[in-house]
Amino acid sequence: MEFSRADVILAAIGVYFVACLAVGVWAYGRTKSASDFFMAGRSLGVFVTCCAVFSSTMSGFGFVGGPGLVYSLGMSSMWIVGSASIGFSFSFFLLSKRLRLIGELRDSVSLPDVIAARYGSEATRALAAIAIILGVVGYLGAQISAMATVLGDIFKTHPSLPEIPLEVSMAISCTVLVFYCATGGILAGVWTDMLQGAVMVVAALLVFATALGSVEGGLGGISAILEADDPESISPWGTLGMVGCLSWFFVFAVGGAGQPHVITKIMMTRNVRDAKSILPLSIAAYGITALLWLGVGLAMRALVVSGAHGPLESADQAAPQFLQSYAHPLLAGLVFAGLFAAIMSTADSFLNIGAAAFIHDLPHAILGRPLRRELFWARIATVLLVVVAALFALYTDELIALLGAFGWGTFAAALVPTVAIGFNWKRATALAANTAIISSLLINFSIQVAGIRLPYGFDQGALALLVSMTLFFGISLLSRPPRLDADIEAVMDL
Amino acid sequence: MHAPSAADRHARFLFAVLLAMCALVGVLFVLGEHPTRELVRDGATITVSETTGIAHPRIAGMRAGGDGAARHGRLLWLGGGFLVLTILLAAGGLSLGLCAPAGHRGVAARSARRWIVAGTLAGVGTATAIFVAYSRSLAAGVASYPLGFPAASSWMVWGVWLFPFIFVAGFVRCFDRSYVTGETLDRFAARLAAVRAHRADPQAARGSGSQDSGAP
Repeated sequence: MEFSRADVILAAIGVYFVACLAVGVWAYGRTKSASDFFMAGRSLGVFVTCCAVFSSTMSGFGFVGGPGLVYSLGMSSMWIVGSASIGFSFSFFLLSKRLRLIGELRDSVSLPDVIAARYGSEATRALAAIAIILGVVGYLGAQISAMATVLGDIFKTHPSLPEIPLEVSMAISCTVLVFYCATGGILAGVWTDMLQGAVMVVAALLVFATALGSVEGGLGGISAILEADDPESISPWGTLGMVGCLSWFFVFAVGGAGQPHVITKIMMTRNVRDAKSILPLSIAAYGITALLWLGVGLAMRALVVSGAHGPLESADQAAPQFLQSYAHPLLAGLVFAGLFAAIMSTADSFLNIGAAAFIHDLPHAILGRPLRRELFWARIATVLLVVVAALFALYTDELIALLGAFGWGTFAAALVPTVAIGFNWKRATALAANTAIISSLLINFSIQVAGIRLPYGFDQGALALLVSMTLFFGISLLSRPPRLDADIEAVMDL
Repeated sequence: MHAPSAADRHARFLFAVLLAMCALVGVLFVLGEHPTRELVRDGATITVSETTGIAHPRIAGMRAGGDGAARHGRLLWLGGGFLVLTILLAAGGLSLGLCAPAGHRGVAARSARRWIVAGTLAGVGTATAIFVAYSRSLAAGVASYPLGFPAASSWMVWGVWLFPFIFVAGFVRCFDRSYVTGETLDRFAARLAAVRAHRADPQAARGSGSQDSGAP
């Protein structure tokens, strides 16, 4: 009996889904409290944290959007990839000690929780929670939309399956996501990240080798083809131009330390000393998975420019088309599973921090106390968040695009000063943190809603980050030094 | 009045770097974009910027960069300045993370700072190499592809990705001696024990002298 490419891909996705469900069942028995649900009981070891950190950074955007950006813009998006090693370093130098220790000291279960402890301000907690919720709905909607589209495409290419509506694809993928996230909380999330990370690394290495072999002369051959067509596309700035690229580098290098789905993982480690191993491993794993972004994008651009492959309907087709046309069926199956892994690992992280913001931080900020039966409400909030984000994704794709597009920049501008700087500088004040968060929301929203184009393609998130950080330092330096709680001050003195 | 702490000095440095970056971005807003193209849309002539590329002449959905000298020639100083300031900002941030207000790490802390200085120099060197190689390619074209790309792009892909490994090496090497020392963990354990005792029995904890825990 012979299996077709479509059979192999479908089987790979099926195996992956079953593995996710099994992890959910396993983690259910180990999730006894809200702290377990949101912080994995601060029990994560080196490899699990490493996989959780890099795989939730390398989302579906990295596996689909990334190659699409290279296909469309040439080398421009390599500044995003290149910023990762300095970005991870920035996060670990600034967060892996004091944020982690204050989180343990105050038994915090979310990022706004630990922010409230640092600044002694419920207003700062509420603003951080609102910024997180706005970003989460957008990001989550975008990830759910991507899951449904990819699964729908897989169904469509299978010859023996009938036409399956997008709603059904969305329901299937969301059911798997909700099952393991609601039952096992972040513990299931990070252990599926471990599985997802392994799949992503292997898939990226094999695809990179395939991509280099698809054009004669490898990387040099690709560069020669692109140079002959449009020298700027293979220059360091790609087609986007120097200013746009450097603003991306700034917002992704510095802004990584403000991504809540990544930095909460740093709060979950079993031992603060593990950071020493997690940092280099995370950078290496991210670098390997980014090879898919680089290799597939450049190879598809060269193949289309040289006429060896027809033009793509859309840039985001670069990775799927490459896999369909040039990869071995087994590799295609592995990569599609890897693609799902990349999307789901980001979605489960957002789901968890969104649920924490809803059922832990907002009640704290408004009522002054947590909800009773937090674990129960956390599971309910997880289900509701997926339903709401899926409905948004299905029926208001413009809102999802709006929220999704400004997610990274908003998190960066709101949380880098508040968290990355504020946890290492005792003079930082709550007023400065509140101003940074509000300015981030205002700048990102107003530029996005008004459709303002910044000169030379300067990134709006970079502008928001620059303004919010400057305001944060300026206001703190002009204010009286704040009085910190004695235990917080003691940890900041360590 | 207290003398500024090491973290305060770092914060002032970072603030100065940010102000310089704001000034450079402000220049962008004042300069006006170049090159541009006139387009007739709905009967009206509009000016469209070509600084972020143009539609590829043959392939729909793909962008092309166009004339590199025309769009970058007069801005290279600004781009170089912005990249160097970004590297300085990042390095200053890393150094802030290593600040020890208690000042008890002496030689080990200096060793960690040396790694940061080395990484910063490597970063600034990489940035310089990118701009020098790109300027040369604008003048003379691209003759070879070292490590798979034109020289400027090779510096960008491999250099920008790899130079922060100097920071990482410093982090790994100095971690136990200057970032999280045994003393750090001992002091934290004592503080944590006091806070937990306070939570379990606030009155007894107060009596045993741990009233400064400040825990809720």
